[in-house]
This record gives sequence, structure tokens and C-alpha cells, in this order.
Amino acid sequence: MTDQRTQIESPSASYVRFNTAGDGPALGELQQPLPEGLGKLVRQELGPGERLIFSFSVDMNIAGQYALKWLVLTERRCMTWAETDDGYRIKLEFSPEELRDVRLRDMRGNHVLFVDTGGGWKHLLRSSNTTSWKLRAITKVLETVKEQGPGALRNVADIELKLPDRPVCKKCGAPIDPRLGVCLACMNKRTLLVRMVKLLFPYKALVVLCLALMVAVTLLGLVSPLLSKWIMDLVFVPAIKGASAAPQTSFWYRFGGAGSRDLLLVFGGIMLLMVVAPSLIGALRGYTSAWVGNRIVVDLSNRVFSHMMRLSLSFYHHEETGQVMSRITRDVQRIHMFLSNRLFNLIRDVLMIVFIVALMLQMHTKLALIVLAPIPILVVASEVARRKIHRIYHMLWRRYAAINRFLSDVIPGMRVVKAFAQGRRETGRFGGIMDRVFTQEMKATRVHVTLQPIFGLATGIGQLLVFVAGGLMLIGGQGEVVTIGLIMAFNGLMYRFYPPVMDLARALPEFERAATSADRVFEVIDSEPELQTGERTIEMPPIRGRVEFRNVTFGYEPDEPILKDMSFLAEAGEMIGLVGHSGAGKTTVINLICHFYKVNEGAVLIDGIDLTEVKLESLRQQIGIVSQEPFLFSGTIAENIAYSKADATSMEVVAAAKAANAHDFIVDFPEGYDTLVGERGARISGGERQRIAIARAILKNPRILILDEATASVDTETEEKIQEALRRLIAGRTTFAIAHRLSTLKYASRLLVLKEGRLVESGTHDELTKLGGVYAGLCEKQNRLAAIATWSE
Amino acid sequence: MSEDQHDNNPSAEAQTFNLMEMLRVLDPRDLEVERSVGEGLVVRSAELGQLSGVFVEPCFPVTERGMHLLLKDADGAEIGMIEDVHKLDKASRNAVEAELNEQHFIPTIIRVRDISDELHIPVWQVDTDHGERRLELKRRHDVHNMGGGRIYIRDAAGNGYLIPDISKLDPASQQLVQSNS
Repeated sequence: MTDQRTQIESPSASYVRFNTAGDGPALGELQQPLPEGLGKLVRQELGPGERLIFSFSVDMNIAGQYALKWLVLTERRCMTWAETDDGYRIKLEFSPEELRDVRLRDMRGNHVLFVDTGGGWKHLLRSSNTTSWKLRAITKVLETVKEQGPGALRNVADIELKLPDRPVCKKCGAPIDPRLGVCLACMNKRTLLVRMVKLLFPYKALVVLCLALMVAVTLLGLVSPLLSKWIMDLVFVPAIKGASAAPQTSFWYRFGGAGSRDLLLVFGGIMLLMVVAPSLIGALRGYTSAWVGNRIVVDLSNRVFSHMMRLSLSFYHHEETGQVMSRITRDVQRIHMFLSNRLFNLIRDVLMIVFIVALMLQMHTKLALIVLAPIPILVVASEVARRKIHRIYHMLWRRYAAINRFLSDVIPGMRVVKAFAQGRRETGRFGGIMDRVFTQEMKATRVHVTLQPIFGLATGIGQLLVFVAGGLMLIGGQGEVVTIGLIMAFNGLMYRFYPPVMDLARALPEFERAATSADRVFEVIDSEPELQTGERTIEMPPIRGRVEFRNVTFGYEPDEPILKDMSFLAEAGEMIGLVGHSGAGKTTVINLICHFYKVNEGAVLIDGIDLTEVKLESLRQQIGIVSQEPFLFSGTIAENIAYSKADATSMEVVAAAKAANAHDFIVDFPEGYDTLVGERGARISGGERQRIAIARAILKNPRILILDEATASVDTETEEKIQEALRRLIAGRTTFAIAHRLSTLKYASRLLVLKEGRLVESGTHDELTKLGGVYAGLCEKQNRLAAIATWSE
Repeated sequence: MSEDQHDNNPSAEAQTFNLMEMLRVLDPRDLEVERSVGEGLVVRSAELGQLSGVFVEPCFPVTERGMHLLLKDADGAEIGMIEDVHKLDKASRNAVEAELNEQHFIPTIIRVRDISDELHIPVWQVDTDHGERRLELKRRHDVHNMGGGRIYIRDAAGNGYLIPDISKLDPASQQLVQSNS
């Protein structure tokens, strides 16, 4: 008793042992410590020797209001606590002995868990999709308790909870959305800049060369205001007013006396050099930086593309094609512009500003301070503009992406548009999109044009100050020596000072553009392939063909399971027909056999090996797919057939085409197997495409074959040819076939009937027809349809 | 458990059909071919006996002329395949090639004189191994790069022309083709 008390005083110790770190299952977010107030109440409730197993909260109450609702599970009971305005209230309480049944219902946007503790169903918990996985976990626990009795609670560790393993941000440790792969909180502009600059690292030597050349040009640029000062003070003024007006000593007197022609010629010569040298050095720098920049475009594009090849299909499930393509082209281009142009200009501008300020201060501190006074106005104005511009450009980019998205949507669907006479409507929609682009462009322009006069004003004031303040000092002649030459030099320096400042202000929005582009590009590079291909080491051995689904639950969206707890076994060489209404999950089964996606719960095994352990390539090399609308790449028919086996000989290609019953129509084309297909190529009918795809699959000689509606869109005669081809293909391989026309599945050794993501029946055609269940119903419907078709002919 | 399963299952590999059985490749040493003008070829072989009215059709007319030739009878039914015309005896080879040249005519372009755009129609002035020719294409995309320097052109009427290797053309022709494909 006393023991128990001490345990409960410290909250962490009040949980049973397996919850402590490093022991038992990782309950992760399922184990949330109770908040202070609730913890106290729960402790009062607990009887002697009663220990907490775990507690967690969901984000909704039974009425559907967003509020935290807690579930507390102890060794003796299960309680739910609701958070109300005046503290926590216990809502439902039952002991494991009372539990008769448990049921989780997945509804749209939310999920409700019911329990029957005698006296009918009662609401236990309700949750949105965000926390529904917790409902799944507790359902599993309660189901186990129901089956094995209350004792099971003592061994919760043995219950497989299948908690989602969520990627965690390496920096802040917060869970991150697996689809995004990036921790948004940890992504900031500074790290983006650093990462962009890191792209330059492989070309260090050239970058250093560029920088050196740039410093040289910058320094040379500063010599001419100085020269004008010297010419004025050492040549012109003495020439007019006599040698006494010149300074007593100067470095330059060794070339000629004050006001002399020799000295003028020396300065003239230096001036000529100053004109020629910067353009030469500038050209060299321009070439080098363009080389580096273009190399980076190539590197980055390759990296993005190869990474996109590694990403699982779920990435493409969530991204629109237009956006993905824009990433490789426009965004990379922007980063290139920034790195090869802007970044160097930025450094040059900063150097220029620093040099000019230093030179001015060195020449005449007081005048310099007066002249530079308007600078803060510029800095403040540009900072204000920066914030505004960022938002506007992000919007602008999204509107441009909308154009691409619209076009890549409408143009491939032109037949549909025309067939439904929707040309006018689409034109209207396009006009609307263009209008929005225009509005956004003009918004950006407005910010630009309001910024420009502010900078103009600042420049004007600076020059005014040089002449007025400088002039006053010249006339007054107090203390510091101000000469005409000095005023000229200051004026010249001011001319050189403002362009870099303005450039810097202009560079900011461009940096913003580059940063948003970089954000998106790095997002692709950073997104970890969901299938974690890097860590896999097992090569899939030659497949014999035994495919097993073990309690598989899977959904494309985490909380909308398409397949629910599905188990089946296909022996090597069997042909399995998958039957069911649309949306029953047939295609999903196939996607999982190919391991395009990772299952949420359970496992898919081939020859007893869990697919999550094997290298993807070694697996997919042994699987062949013939799908409903086979994709042909642009190239010749021969190349398309050989796509599955790059080293296939011409003989093999022809043999495969023959086996696929494609040979005859191929040689009827004027260019035979050399006929070009794809976007710019010949028109190939659906049935022909299908047979080319079958030839592709035959050539691959896969161990597992998948036929996804392979005969859906062809006429009966063509279907016969395809069927014949398929029979050759199927021989000796494990085959999974989906077909709407049940007659297509007559060669199947077994049919699996799916309904709403569950396996409801399985057996041969005859067995299932006798059973009189779902399959028999489907058959009857199709027969009736067929009868109508025959009758109407 | 799964191991036992495998052992009970005889190698599944053997059950799949042999792909190459789909092809009937004719023995070149067994073939004797001669032309019968206007009526295709006459083929004599121990395997097939004597067949007349045989037509020849290349599988890869653009990329592998002279290889993988299909022999078809008058009804278009396939008799078999000649894998490589060069393996036939000289007389037979000449007969097949002459027949092929008639049945599947694709001249070779040996020089490109000029390429111009007349009202958006690309017009090529070329010398072929069959004489001078003016080609009018439907669109610029009709110049197909088949890889390995091979270029295949189809004109608006559907006639095919071949440049087997662009790098073997004279520099002026190369320049013209490259800036127009």
C-alpha cells in the first residue's frame, strides 16, 4: 500500500514497467502524460495497487466539438475524461470484465469508437483523422481484451499495435508530415542561402578567381574619382592660379611639377588604363561565373531528377504534374540566375560600398558623415519593401504555375472538351487565369515603381549635400582642408555609391525569388523516399512466386484505409483473378504487390520475404505489368518493346511481339518495328498499344505478372487475340489479373472477391457461383447485361 | 516453411514457354532464292520444298535493312525469317535484295543540296542513291533521329528516305540537316 503511494506521487513511475524508455513497445505519442489537473483527479480515482497502463488524448469530444478528450487505461478499468470549462469530468468508465464488444467506425472526416459493456453500444471516443490512429490502437487493445480476457491487459506489450512510424525532424525532434518530408519550422531563409552557396563548393577555385577579379574591378573603379581629384588639385588649379595654389608635397611630383604637361600626361595615361582594364577583367569574370552557374544548373537538375526517380508514387499522388515540372525547369533556372549573377553582384556591391565609405572617411571624415546621412532612409525603405515583395512574388509564382497546370490539364483532354462543346467555357477559364496573372504582375510593378522614387530622392539629396556642405567648408576654410578636387572626388564617389545601394535593394526581391525557388527544389531533394530505399540491403532472390498478404491495412491517405485487414496466399504459378466493384481495392492490391507504396499495417511477402526489406530494383525487375492504358514512350516500337530489357536482341523483340500477337500489325506499318510512336509518332489503337505492352512484359520474362484490366477497352476479336497472347504469357508465372468482364478470368485458378477493401469470398468460378454470394451476384448482373447486348444486336 | 514450399514446387522456370519458339528462322544454307519478275520470289529448300510468289518484308526497314527479313506467301501468311541476308549464297542474296528494293523502297540520301521553307512547308533538295529528288515534308518533326547518326525522313506523301549515318555526309549537308531537324 505504502509502496503504491510512493509510486503514484511521481507521475512517471505510476505507469507499468514496459512504458519506461528502452523497454517494451515504443508507444510513442500513444503514451501522453496526463496534465497536472487531470493527473490529480485520476490519482484520487485509482484504487490500491491499481496502476496506469497508458493514457492519451484525442482531438474531439463525442458531440464533435474540438476539445481534448482523454482515455485512461489502468489494469482494472478504462475511463474517458472530458475537458470542460470547469475542469475534467469522467465520462465513461468500465472494467475489462464488462466489455462485450468493441467497434470502430470510419466515417468521413472523423472516426467513432463504440463499446458494448452490456446494454447496447455506447460512444467511447470520437476523433478527427489527425488522431484516428490512436483509436485504431486502442481498438486493437480492447479487441484483444475481449478475446483473451482482462488478463491481456497485463501484457499490453505483447499486443501488436502497429503505430505509425512517423519521420522526425533531425533538428527539432518534432514529428513531420511524411509526405512533406521537411520540417517547416526548421526551414529558414538563412539556411536556404547557405545551402545555395554550398552548391558553389565543388567549383571553389573558379569562384575564388571570380571574386578576385571582382575585387580588382571594384578597386580600379575607385581610382578614377581619385584621379579627378589629383588632376584638379595638382594640374588644373595650379595651372590657373599658379604653383602656390598646389599642395607642397605629393607622391606625383616625381613625374612632373605642379600644373605641368608631363603630370597631365601621366594622369591621362593612367586614366586610359582605368578605362580599358576593367572591361577586360569584367569579361573574363563574366565568362567564368557563367560557366560555374551553368554547371550548377546541370548538377542541380540531375540531382532533382534522379531524386524524383527514387521517390515513391505517393509523392506524385500528392503533387500536380505541372508543379513538379516547373520545379526542374523554372526553379532551377532561378537559382542559377541568383548564383551566377546576383550573388556575385551582391558581393561586388557590398565591397564597393565598403571601399567607398572607407575612402570618403579617410579623405574627409566630417564631409563623409554629412553626405552619407540619407543612407538609413534607404535601408529602412528597402526592408519595408522586402517584406511586401516576398508575399507578392510567391503569389505570382503560384499564378504562373496555374497556367501550366491548366494547360497540361485541358490540352490532353481536348477530345472531351470538344465533345462536350466546352471550348467557350475553357477559354473563359483561361482568360480568368491570365487576368489574375496580370493583376499580380501589376501589384509587383506597383511596389517597384513606388520604391524607385524613394531611391531617386535619396541620391539627389546626397549630391546636394556634397556641393552645399562641401562648398560651405571650402568657402569657410575652417580646420579641415577642403579643395575643389576633394569636392569633385566626393561627387564622383557619390555617383558610384548609389548604384550598388540600389542594386542591393533590387537584389533583395531577386533573392526572395531565388529563395522561394530554392525552398521548393530543396524540398524535393530533402523529401526522403517513403520506401526508405537507402537502408535496404537484401537483393530479392529469383522469385518463385508465392505471394502472401498478411493482415494488410492500407490507404493512400493515412486515415482512409482502402484495404482492411486483408490476408490471402497465392501459390507459385497460380493465376489469381481479383474481382469486385470499382473502388473495392483491386488496383490497390496490385500497387502493393509491386511495392509502389508501403502498407500501413501488416505485411506483403513474396516467397516469405517481407517486401519492405528488399531492394526495390531487384524486386521490380521480376514483376511485369500490363495495364489498362499502357504508356508508350516516344521512340520506335522496337525500343518500346525492349524497354523492359535493354539488352534484348532484335530477334527477341520480334519473337516477343509474335507471342503477344502484335507482330502482324507491326509489320503492316510502313516502317515495321522502326515505326515511331509517342507524341510525335504514329497513331496506335488501344488494342495495339495493349499488345505492345504485353510484348514488353513477355520480353521481361517476369516471375510475377500483373494484368490490370488488360482487355478492358478492346473489341471482342482483339480481345481474343490478346487473350491468346496472355495465355502464353501467364504459363508458369504467378499472375494477378483484374478484369471487369468476368469472362476474361475463365483461366484463373482462383478468384478473390473484394468488397469495400475486404476479402469476402475466394474460390474457383464454379465454387463461387454455387456459394450464391457477392460473386454470384456480379455474374448474374453481367449475364443480364450480356443478354441485353445480344438482344439489341 | 516457405523453403519446403519451394522444394515441392519444381522449378517454375521450366513451365514458362520458350520465347524463341515463336520464330521460325530459316537455315540460310538450305535456301535457294531467285526472282520471278512481277511474281515475287521463288524459294527452294529442303525444309519447305519449292514455293513461288514469295514476298519479302523487313522487320526493321530503317535501322537494320537486310536483317530479319520475313518471307510471306501470296496470301500474306508468314513462311519464316531470314536472319541475315548476307548469309545467303551470292545469287540468292542478289535476288532477295533486288526484290526487297522493290517491295520496300527506301532510297538513301547521299547529299543534301538545300533545305528551305516555302510557306512553312520544309522543302529538301537532295541527291539519293536513286537520283535527284525534291522532298516536301509535312512538318519539321518528320525528320526523325533514330540514334547512332541515322536519320529517317518521311515526306508528306509518306515516302521514306534514309541517311544511314549523318557523320558520313559532306560537311555542308551535315550543317543543313542539323539546323533543320
